[in-house]
Amino acid sequence: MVFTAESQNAAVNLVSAVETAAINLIRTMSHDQSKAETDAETDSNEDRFLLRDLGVERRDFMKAGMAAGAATSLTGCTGLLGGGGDEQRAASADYEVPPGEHDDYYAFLSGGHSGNIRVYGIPSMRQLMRIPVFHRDSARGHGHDDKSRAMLEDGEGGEYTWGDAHHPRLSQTDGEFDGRWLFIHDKANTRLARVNLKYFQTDAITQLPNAQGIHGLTGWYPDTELVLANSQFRIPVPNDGRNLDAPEEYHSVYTAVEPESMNVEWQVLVDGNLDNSDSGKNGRYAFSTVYNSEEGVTEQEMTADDRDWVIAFDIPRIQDAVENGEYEVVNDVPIVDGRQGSSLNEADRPVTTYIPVPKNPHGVSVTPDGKYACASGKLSPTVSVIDIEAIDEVDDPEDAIVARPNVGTGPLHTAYDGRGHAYTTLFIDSQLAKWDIEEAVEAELGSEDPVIEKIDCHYSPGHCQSAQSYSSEPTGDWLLALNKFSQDRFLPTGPYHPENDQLIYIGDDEEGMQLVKDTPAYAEPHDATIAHRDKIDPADIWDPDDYELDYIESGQQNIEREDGQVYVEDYAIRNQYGFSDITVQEGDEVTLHYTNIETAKDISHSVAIPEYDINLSLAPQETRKVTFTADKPGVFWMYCGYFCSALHMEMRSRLLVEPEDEPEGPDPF
Amino acid sequence: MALLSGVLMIVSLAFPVWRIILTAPQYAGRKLYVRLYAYPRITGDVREVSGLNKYVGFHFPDPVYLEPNYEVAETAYALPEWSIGPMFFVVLAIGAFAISLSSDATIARRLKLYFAGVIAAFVGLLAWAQVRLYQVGHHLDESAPMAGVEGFTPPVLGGYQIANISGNAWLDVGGYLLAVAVILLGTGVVFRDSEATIRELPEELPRVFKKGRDRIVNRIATRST
Repeated sequence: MVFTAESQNAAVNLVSAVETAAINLIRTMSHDQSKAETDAETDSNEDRFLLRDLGVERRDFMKAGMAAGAATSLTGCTGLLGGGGDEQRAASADYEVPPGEHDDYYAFLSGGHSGNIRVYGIPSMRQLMRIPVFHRDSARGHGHDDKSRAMLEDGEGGEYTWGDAHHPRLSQTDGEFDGRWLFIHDKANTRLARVNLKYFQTDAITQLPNAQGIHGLTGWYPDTELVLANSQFRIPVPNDGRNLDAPEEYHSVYTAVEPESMNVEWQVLVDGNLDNSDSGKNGRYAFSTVYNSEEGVTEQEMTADDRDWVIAFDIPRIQDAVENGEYEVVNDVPIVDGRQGSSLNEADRPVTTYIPVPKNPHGVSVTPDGKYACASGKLSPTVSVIDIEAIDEVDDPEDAIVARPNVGTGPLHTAYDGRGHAYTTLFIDSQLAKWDIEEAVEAELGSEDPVIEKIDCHYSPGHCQSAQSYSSEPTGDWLLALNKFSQDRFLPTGPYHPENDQLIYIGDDEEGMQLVKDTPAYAEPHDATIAHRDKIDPADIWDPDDYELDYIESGQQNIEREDGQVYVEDYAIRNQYGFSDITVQEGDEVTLHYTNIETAKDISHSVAIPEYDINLSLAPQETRKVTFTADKPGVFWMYCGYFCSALHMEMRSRLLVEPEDEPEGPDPF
Repeated sequence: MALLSGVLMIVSLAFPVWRIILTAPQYAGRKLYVRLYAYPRITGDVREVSGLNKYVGFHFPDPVYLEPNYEVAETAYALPEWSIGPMFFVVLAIGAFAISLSSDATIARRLKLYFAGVIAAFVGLLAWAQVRLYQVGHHLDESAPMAGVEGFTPPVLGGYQIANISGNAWLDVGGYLLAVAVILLGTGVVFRDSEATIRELPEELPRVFKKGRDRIVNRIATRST
């Protein structure tokens, strides 16, 4: 690296960036000021604050000083120092996608408490589409037509208005993405949703009983025969008011849903509370991290012990137990007892194996070859590597752990490149660590030697996800670090800051990881799945065979009236609806059943009705219906919400609602 | 040869004879097809194209006598001869069949005459079609939504531009069949006197060309002396 004024500036920026990250950490994470160390005195108030608190922050501070020193001594920023940043950008990563050209990958990012899925192109990081899932979305009409409205309002607790979507997972066949479905859970209102990837549309939502705080999600691979969901919050089962203040009687369950029917098949009751989940590759085990083995209810109680677990769920064994009637039924779901003391765990082949790992572990992910499950330690600076085949062979489950590299502070999630490397996000260090899996197996437990390099992230990455890392065929070129904070990376937008999704090139082991792009994200992507474009094959217009409603062709428009109910069948095409006006009586229950009969792609229409809060959105060849009560007399111009053509403004028909009582008074004009 | 030509002329009725391909920026990566038959029938992206036509007040023509397979606009230009289009080909085909039944003594002369007639008929047809296209293209509906589009003349064969839409007109399957029919007739005329079989045609061809060239050269030579 040639030393220039620019790289000097970059080094200075780096110093301040690390400081900012550290300060932020203290603000967000430090809850115990009483442990403050007072032996460090510096000139800056911020620095004093920094050093007074946690050891890790002091480490960051020292690292910042070292990085500055490294820059002035012309040695650059490589190796364990990390100190990546923009100045490390190199030519080998081709991340430009010129106008008119397509990306290589689809990235599906969860929208967190925005409740949606965002679809990005990689490497451009252009946002291609949003898929509304757990919330109403007027542009795509989600929650505005009868079917999707029923889907959103069909929760057991009544009408939900939002969801908290964390872990998008694609369906797989034979360990490869099959482009059929995407599954996403709702942590807030305890649901599981299915997105149809032919139409990029949410087509089913299921309420999961006996659980709360659905967090980790995975398919049971290689063939997605089940979708498996963790519940993070321990609650009484059933949660009907019993055992209200008896936390020792609370439970966490692992839920299996059949993907085709979206039916809840069974649940497994476990000790502790479940966090993240991933499946093995051969149809045997699925894994979940468990924190709060203490089963406490306060932060202090939850972090008391140095060890929690990874639970290995033996899925075929659990299915046998269900088959043999070894369960209790609660809220119509068979629940198998998978707690440590369960009689089902006394047999040779337990339903659940509790593998002790340090400490409040967070992410768990299985290597693409299906050999290891890696659990990131969160409050321990290590990743525990479980040899999946060894689980059946060892007497003490802990012996299945074959490696435990020390990767850095706050390891949360691990992704893979298919070349034997693992990439672990370090939330507290605000870095990404690249390490060698087999070297970790060779090395002693706790060794830092397997770590190859680190790169700075901006700031505090949660998940990272590399291209096709969740499948058995990772491509090893791109990685997304989903940072929880953007701090100073973008133009200020008021007190709410965007998150920062960073694109990192990992395809060149000699050159090292290269940060190539910052992408602001609206709150709040938690996880992503990245699939090559060849794996996804969306339709660009609807096939009417794929929905149940009748297709209404031009000339078939019809209005039927019966006992205060009006059923309108009509069509939309540039630049008109079949009926130029529709007359109903005040108080009628009106159903509008419309088909967009366009065959040209990209020509969407909608039927928007002012003051009736309706926007029936219709992609080409799509049919939807909406039912409402015409409770306001007057003229309402039904118009097309999509700018569909040059005559878009002319595309409107009248809804004439005849008043029940004659309006009084003379016309003012 | 004449018999085969006649058959091709009849068969071509089952296919569109003429097609237009339309491209426009708003149809990125897509070509819109309009395929016309010898009788009032249009296939391809009919609804899409009539939607576009509506903007500028250009309508598919009204064949007057026959009910076409598309909706005829009230202000559409009348093109009654389209209704009897197939008769044109049927008459030509009957001529071909008649010639193929002729005696050896008369066939050569008749074939030549017939061939000349067919050429004249097709040239006339194309010329007439061009005239009609001019008329249809200049009969834009004044009540059309879009202002500022002048009358235009789509060519019978070739490209043109209207607003932001590029058009290209050419033969369709039926048109190619007719072209083959004409070529077959021409071949029949040229090789009538030859003893060569089809297999020998490749060797025969240069000789025929040479013969023709010699004749032209001789004629020029004669004229210049």
